[in-house]
Amino acid sequence: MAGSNGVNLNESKRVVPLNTWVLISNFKLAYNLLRRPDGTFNRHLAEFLDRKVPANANPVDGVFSFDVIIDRGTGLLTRIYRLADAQESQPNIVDLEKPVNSEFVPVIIFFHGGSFAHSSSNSAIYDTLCRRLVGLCKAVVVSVNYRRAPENRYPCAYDDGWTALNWVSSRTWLQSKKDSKVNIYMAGDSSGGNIVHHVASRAVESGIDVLGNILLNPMFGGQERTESEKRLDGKYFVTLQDRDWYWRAFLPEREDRDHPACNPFGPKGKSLEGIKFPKSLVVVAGLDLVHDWQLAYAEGLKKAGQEVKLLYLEQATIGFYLLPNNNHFHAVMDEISEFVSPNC
Amino acid sequence: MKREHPNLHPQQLSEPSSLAAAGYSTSTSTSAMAPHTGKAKIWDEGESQQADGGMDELLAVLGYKVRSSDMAEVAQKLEQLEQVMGHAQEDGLSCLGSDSVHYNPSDLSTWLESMISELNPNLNLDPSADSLLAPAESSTITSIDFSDHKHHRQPKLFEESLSSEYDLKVIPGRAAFSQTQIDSRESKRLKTDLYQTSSSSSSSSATTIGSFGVSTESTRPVVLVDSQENGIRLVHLLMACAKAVQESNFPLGEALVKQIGFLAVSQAGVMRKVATYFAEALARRIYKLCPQNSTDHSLSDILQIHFYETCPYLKFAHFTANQAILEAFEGKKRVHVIDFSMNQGMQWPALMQALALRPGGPPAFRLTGIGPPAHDNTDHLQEVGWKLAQLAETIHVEFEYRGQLLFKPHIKPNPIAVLYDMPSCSGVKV
Repeated sequence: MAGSNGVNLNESKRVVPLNTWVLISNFKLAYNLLRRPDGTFNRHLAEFLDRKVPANANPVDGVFSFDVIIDRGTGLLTRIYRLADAQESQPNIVDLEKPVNSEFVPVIIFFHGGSFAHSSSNSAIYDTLCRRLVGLCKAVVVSVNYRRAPENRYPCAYDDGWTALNWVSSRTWLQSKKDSKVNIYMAGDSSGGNIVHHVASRAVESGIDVLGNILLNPMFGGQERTESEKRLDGKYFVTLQDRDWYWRAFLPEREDRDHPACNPFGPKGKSLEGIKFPKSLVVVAGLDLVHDWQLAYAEGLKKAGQEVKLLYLEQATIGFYLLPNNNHFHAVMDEISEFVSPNC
Repeated sequence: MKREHPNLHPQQLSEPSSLAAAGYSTSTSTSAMAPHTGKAKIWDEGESQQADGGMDELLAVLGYKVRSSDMAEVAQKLEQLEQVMGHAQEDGLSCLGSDSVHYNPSDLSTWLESMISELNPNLNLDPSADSLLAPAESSTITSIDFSDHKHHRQPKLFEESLSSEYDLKVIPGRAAFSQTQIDSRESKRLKTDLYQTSSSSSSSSATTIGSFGVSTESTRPVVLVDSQENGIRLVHLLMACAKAVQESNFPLGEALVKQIGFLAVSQAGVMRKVATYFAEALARRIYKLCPQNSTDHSLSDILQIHFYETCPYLKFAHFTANQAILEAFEGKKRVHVIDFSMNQGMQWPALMQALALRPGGPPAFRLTGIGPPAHDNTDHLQEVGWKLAQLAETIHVEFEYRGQLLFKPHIKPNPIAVLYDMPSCSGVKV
């Protein structure tokens, strides 16, 4: 990456608004500081640099949030976002888990991104995104603060996702009025998208009904170097080197990127044929260097006879959904709200 | 092409340091991006989101304070930093993460500048920019005639900075004079909530104070060294030396401890003293220079008392032990404590006072102090006993004392407190 820096920076600047460029470049820079060559991670600095926001039970733009520990053993925290009733200005503590008051309320279990190592549910970027989802989809959003790599490798993040799924499906207050069941969707970006897939796979065998998966720039990979990886390496904020680092940090030691966690449709993957897998909305950014893997994922779902809608945004980069200042953002938000609506 | 999204108003953050307090204008997202133009039209932020203070609203919601008017400049700094980091090795980058002190990361502009100055102190930036960087000269060694009054002025600066809330700060030379610098420090907040505590102190090993190494003679030319770097190196050096000593790697320790001496004198004030003492202690370990057993024990006794008073660890241990004793003796009329490592008897005044205040009145307190003989042939055990007896008298606790010399104690068991309660006699080891 070092050599062609000058060219690369100009290219990425051309395709995103300036404030988006500043935001993502800043992340890139900060993240470079945190990854150590020996595979360890400067967690203290990461937490210091991460811009965080507390939960807020006072509605802001009609949405309020609160944090719940759903597993004391692991300290698993989730942040729950809900729409405030029109009348109430300040829900008190008994109102936080008041039953949802609608015929059909989508409950979206959200897994934030960060390549398994960065960010938390209370990161400002994800808090903001979740709030948007609530407003758009009239949903309850449950953002899972899963354990991160490298301190917690595979399968911790999936285990936490699984715990959250079980917890959500057993909350009576999340049941929609129409059929007294919890209408669960799962959504995630980057590593969160990867988690969505694997938790959904686990759900299939257990009888918990997931109505749909939403994967935004999901994090997949494999040993092979795809064409998009080679072509786009270092060009739009992301390098192959850092992708490799994150996989090494997450996957079990001595495993390579064909491990099914990374490459679910690869040589070690399990077939999804004949399985009642949730319908999927897969959003792929054309300037994301791993987009070949993401497209292959959608293809894999299709081949297994699963319902999948692919949204390929050719000129989008990573993180386009963090700021509402581009067309891709709006297009995707519209698709998501349609995806979780009851008639779809 | 504009799109109105009324429910996508920028959110108000509830954190106090957020500039949301100023109030946002409720403009909706406006700068639509035409994805296929390769032109730099995107840079025209004329109709872009602006709030009071000109902050970019969208970034503000995500926790970053950047003026819209500064956006291009911030982008430039990012590019600059990228260039500089691209030249550094991978190793250097993550070391930078742990070596630097990071200012408020929300204030992107300042944060980036501080990073740039860390990585490249020789960089001559545009002087018209509001630069907080140390000038290029400060990182080189120059000879300057240093007049006396300047010498006296320097320590005062350090006093100011030391007295402020956060001790772990880098003062990059000239920036110590800058008001904005101080503001950005003050605005750094450590928030604690259910999530992990962000902690900057654990990440910065740079307990440095920028200073100038000055020789005492003002007539001679003086060597000016940027000790900001030296401070960081000093800390690392001390740690490395301590580690070497711990691993009994004395050749390495010896090599390192010699270096410490040089670096320590380049510091001023507190850092200099601490580093010098550490270096001395490490040197003693390395060269196996144990202090000779002086005949005068009174000094070490006094030091021990001071240490006991200053440092909480021993006191706390004694406190917990005393609590256990008190609980064990509830209701008992007689207490006998056997202290196998009676030194100055620092533990017992507190216990005696607690006994005196016991509801129902104090028990009779008997203390047997066991210890090695003193080197100066004084009967120190008895002396301690007398002092405790005096205390007992003033607080009206019936007190008996016996000192017992024990030669060559192999073991140092904890004091044993013995219950006396009429017929039965039970011992409680505390």
